[in-house]
Amino acid sequence: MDQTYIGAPIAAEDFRLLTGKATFTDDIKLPHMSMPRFLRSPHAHARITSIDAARAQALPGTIAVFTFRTSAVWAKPIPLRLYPLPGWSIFCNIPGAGQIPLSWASRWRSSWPKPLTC
Amino acid sequence: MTLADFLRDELNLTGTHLGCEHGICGACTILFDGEAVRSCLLLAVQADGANLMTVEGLAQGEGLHRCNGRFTRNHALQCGFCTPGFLMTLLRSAGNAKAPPKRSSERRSPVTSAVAPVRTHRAGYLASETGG
Repeated sequence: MDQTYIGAPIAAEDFRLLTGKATFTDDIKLPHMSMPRFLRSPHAHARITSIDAARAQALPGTIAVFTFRTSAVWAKPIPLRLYPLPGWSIFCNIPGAGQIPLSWASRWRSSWPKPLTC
Repeated sequence: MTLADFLRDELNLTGTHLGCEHGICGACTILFDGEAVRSCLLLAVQADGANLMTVEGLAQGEGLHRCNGRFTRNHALQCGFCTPGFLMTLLRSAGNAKAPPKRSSERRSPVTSAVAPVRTHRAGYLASETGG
């Protein structure tokens, strides 16, 4: 084997990227491809009580409108894992771990609701 | 319809990329009658009769423009998404080469100043600075 690629620069993609010939996801066109539009709440902290999609559905060219109500069957709770993290109890047992002043670790730790082991 | 959408969707010139779509990032930069412009901030009708150049126009046949060659030699691109914007901005700068600034307070090189309008989350522009 007289050719090794280990440690050798390979500019295989450069020509495409430099000449506009590369294909990024947004460059792909397929037959009958449709375009999604996302509507997000204009309020940073608000409770959504209802969504009336009738007018959006009635717009010419609209294929479908999906809201949580129509998609709930696929939606599963996102697990919120704050603790325990692997190695957390070991860290807590290090002498002085709780007294590290102004370290990211102690601030992070103090912001947690309930310390698990220390 | 914006000029960028017209280039990409109607003319199928997808080398011009859209990043922020409101004139900040510079990925969609093209030459409009020789000036570097954000194609996302122009309407297609505004370009009626204008002489446009996109990144596709940089490559002649199988050859590369000298800007392109220097980019690849100096590893000035990573994912390459914003690279067309850098190329077109530099091309505009190269066509209007100015003398280096005399003020010592100007720390950036002319090339860095030229591409400063292009914002990217990649580090490629640092390499492009050495491409001259």
